[in-house]
Amino acid sequence: MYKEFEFKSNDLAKAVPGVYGDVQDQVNGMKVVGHGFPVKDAVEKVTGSLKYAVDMTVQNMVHGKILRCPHAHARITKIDTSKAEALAGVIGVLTHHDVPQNDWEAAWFNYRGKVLDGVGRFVGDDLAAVAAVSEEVAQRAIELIDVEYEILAAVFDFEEARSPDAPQIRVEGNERDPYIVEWGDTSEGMALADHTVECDIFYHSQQYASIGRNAAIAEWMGDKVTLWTSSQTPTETRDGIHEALGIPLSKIRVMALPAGSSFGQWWSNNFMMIAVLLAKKVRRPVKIELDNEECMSAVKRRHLEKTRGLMGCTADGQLTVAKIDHLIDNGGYGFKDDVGFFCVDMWGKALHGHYAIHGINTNLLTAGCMRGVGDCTLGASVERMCNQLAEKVDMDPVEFRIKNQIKPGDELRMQHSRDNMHHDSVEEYLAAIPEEYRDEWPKPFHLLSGSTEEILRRGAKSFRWAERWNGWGKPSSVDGPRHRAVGVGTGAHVCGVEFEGNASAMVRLNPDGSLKVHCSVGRQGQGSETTQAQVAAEEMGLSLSMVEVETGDTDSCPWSHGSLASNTMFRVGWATREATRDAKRQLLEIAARDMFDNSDPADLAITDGQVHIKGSMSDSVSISEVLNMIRSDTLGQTSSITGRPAVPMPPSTTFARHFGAQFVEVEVDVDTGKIVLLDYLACQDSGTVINPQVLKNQVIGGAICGAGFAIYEHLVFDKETGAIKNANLLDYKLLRAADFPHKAEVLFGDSYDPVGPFGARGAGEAPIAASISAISQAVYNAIGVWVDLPMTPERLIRALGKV
Amino acid sequence: MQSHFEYLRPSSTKEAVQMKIEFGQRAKYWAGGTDMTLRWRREIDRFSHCIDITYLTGLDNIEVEEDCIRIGALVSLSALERADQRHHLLKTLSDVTKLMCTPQTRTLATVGGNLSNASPAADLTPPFIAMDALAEITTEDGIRTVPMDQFFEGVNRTVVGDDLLSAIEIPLPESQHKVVKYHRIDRTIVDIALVNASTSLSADRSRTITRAGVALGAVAPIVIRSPAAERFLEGKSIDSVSESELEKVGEIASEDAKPISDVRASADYRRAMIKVMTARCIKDCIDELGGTIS
Ligand SMILES: Cc1cc2nc3c(=O)[nH]c(=O)nc-3n(C[C@H](O)[C@H](O)[C@H](O)COP(=O)(O)OP(=O)(O)OC[C@H]3O[C@@H](n4cnc5c(N)ncnc54)[C@H](O)[C@@H]3O)c2cc1C
Repeated sequence: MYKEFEFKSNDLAKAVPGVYGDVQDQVNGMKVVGHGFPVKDAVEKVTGSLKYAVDMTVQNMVHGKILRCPHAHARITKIDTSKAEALAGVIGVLTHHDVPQNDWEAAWFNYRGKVLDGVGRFVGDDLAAVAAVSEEVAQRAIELIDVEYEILAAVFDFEEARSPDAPQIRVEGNERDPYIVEWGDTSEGMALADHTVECDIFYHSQQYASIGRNAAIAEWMGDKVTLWTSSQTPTETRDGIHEALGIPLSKIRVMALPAGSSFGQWWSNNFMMIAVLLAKKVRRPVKIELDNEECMSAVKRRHLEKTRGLMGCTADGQLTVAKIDHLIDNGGYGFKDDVGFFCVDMWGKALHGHYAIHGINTNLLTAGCMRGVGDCTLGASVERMCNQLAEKVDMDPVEFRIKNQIKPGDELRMQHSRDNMHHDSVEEYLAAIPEEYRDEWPKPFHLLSGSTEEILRRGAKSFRWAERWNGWGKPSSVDGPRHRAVGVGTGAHVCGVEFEGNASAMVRLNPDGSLKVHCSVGRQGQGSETTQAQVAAEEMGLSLSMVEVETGDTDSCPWSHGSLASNTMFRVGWATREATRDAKRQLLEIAARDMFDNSDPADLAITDGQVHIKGSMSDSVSISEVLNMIRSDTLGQTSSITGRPAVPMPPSTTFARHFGAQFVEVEVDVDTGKIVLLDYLACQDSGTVINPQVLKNQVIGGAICGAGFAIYEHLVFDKETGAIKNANLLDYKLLRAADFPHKAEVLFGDSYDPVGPFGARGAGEAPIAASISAISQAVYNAIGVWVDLPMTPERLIRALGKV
Repeated sequence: MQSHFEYLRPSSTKEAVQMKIEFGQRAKYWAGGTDMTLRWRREIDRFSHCIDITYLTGLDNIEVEEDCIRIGALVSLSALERADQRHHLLKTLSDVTKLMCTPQTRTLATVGGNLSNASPAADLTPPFIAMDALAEITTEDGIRTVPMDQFFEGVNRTVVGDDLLSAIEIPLPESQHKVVKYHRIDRTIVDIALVNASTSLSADRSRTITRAGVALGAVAPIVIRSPAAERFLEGKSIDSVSESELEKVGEIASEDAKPISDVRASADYRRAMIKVMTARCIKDCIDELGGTIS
């Protein structure tokens, strides 16, 4: 009943019939897709003319600063702003008394709460704000606000916070219902196992540490508001303002600007809501610009996490059981209850499984989704246990992965208990899928395309794995204190989600034959302004220079999740292609009727902006001729053509994943504990590669970000107050390009996705996870001891028992 | 709130010192400004007058003489980095600067600023102390000289007071060969040393170690010497030091360290690393002197 897709490899260039593919789907012969065009904003970036939110100003703008909570948990009993208001240059002060007491929710439960409610839930929490003629005056006024607090008991440890006697941080209680995915019967899985391993691993918190900071400028015109801010989720930010203020969506315009880097930090954040409310109160445009320390200590971070569990396998290396309990700390305002995309599905060949994830609030900085959420933690725990099992059965890690990791057609279970499916069971959900979609959709809850197998095999060959791998816990060479070894790791993630709404996009074909794409995505350096344009250009038969993309204006971009959950290419790219297809259909209908003697539109094609009969370029007419003809015709139907997706995108969390497999050589100094990365190969299966330069950048960027988490990155919380002690780039150690092998290579898998645009899937999150596991394993092989992350020099030396 | 300050530009070293004397604690010299900017922005330093010494002439030369190397206080880290061909001691200092800051920051940051900032983790301090370098300090009416190991009073405090550090002199004793080596523990490519050590050995023609300097950083409020480790080495032949003696001298040095635990590293780790780095520095020195570890 569900569509049986014919699987094909890109180089076979076979046609897939039906809605999701036609002859143009062949990667070979494509003119725009698959080519490494420079990103469209390259010149602006290197000349410094690209405007980020911090660069923006608007006329009559004043400056806002936020009063931050000095306590871990405290209620304001009295707030006196008179001295602040009396200061020359101060325009106004916003306190919780001015704020609608509505809960607003950021994308994917990264924030849930009121904009200000008179309670501080962590050191640095937003309490009030001042608008003044300059940042300096605003800051001085902040210091003049007199606040009396009732100090409340605080809890920092997420295990303590679970206790019913713990201080309660939220009205909903500290702990969310567990998110449970299970299949089979774990006791049976235990009985089948010849070997089992256990884990109890704590993960420190990674900071997005985004280079470039952020700002929010809000301006009201009557009862309508515009917000300029750097955001990966333009339309979700608009939704947040709607929830916080209770005003119609039609009165809210978000102009999302590029961000320096983001990794999930700049979605919709509470300081943006404060800017909107402060601007309303003072009746002037207000800009709130965060400094580096605020970006690192007052917005959000990756969760602290803990995995406890066991896994087992048979003597020949078949996983029989995975039984895992995983805790995540949400800090003050996070509300997540799951992080488990990675291992539940990627290691889904385990015969029996039970994964439970528990989200818990603490009086620490809010935690949210950071690139590879769950993959980097829960996923790393599972990779470590699988490595330990492979060692017990003396199997090569590449072979162990190929044997136990998911292949197309295998079951995907991660979404089984998802509330957003609006159905009590998977069976009910399946039964509710309309008949007409069933014929076109791939089979839900089963992997449609891609896997780690091909990239593992090709990667191992290219990295000369067989030669360089010396067995479990055995270095490949030892030179005094310097031990070298190789490691391999894998990662997977969804390719976007459909839970809060389906992705859409709109295109406008202009009378001159140029095309504008309107799609709500982020521009945090991942090249979406370029790759979305490539999809549209390829579909319409235009050169890339004729296509531009508006990514951030919610007045013109239809709703999408934005750039999160590795969504951008797969789901928004799908919508962009479908919208372009719709515009093209309209254009060809007009051209066929008016310029090609009522021929069948299906016989027409567009090449380089010229409409022509398929297979022949003679008698071609340009797109602009077609549009100008109907425009100057007084009976003309239109002067430009607007396209939108004609069908909904199938629910892709139930069938799409992207994969990474990475190989690394490390050198560990066993006397100092220092790890140096020597050689790197990052393999990526994202289906068709829309732009190899852009994807290479994504993959290496992910690998470096994962390497940072593996070796150094972690926030240090004060034991007494929970305040962050290293909210600066001196003591929060980010890897720089020079810390990573400069000859690192990237290898792309050859799979093709029948649903994704031109066969593409998602990309951003598998690479970070694969890198963490690869480096962890390589270090184990170098020194024979598993080291918990981050493997700082000191922690490594301690693991070796030398301190 | 960051303080507002008046900007002063003296035209001579003498005028700079007079300005500093006039405003005392409220005034600060500005060399490369790489430490100052951060301290001012973070409101660690508040001052009413900023005395910009970057325009002073004559303080940015490196002179290599028979009996000493003289490095002006305003020599930038990148200039020191480029001096690697001029003397083998400068080669080591050049290697040290390559570990410091970023290439961009090194063009601004000065040698004098690195020492005057008096960070216990500063990279140039240990090699200068190990080499028995002297600080040349310009006063209102002349020059005074202070051995580098008596230059520091505490974190961010030196004996310079209202005077001006004008140069650093590395003495080159007659008919002896002096070498210096440095090791540090850091995290990423741009970092402050978690802990560091430098040793300098001078050997005479008979291949005897006539003078040893062992300096340890980030293990006390100021960079310290390990006199016991120095005595242990002095008088030994560069061909007679054994692996176990290397370890021993590392141990002696680590006993002199008085580290604390902070956000960067624990006291225990720092102490353990002093042992490793001291031994590595001495081994490198003996290698450069052409000796052999037995
Ligand atoms: C990104 C970055 C990375 C860094 N990495 C390192 C590193 O790896 N290792 C390291 O050791 N340091 C590092 N630093 C610190 C700093 O760059 C160095 O200490 C630098 O050498 C300071 O020199 P400056 O000329 O900039 O000093 P300034 O900031 O101008 O001055 C520092 C202090 O010394 C005083 N001063 C300056 N010159 C004189 C003088 N001639 N006489 C008397 N007082 C004087 C000033 O008043 C001030 O108190 C780093 C700094 C940054 C910003």
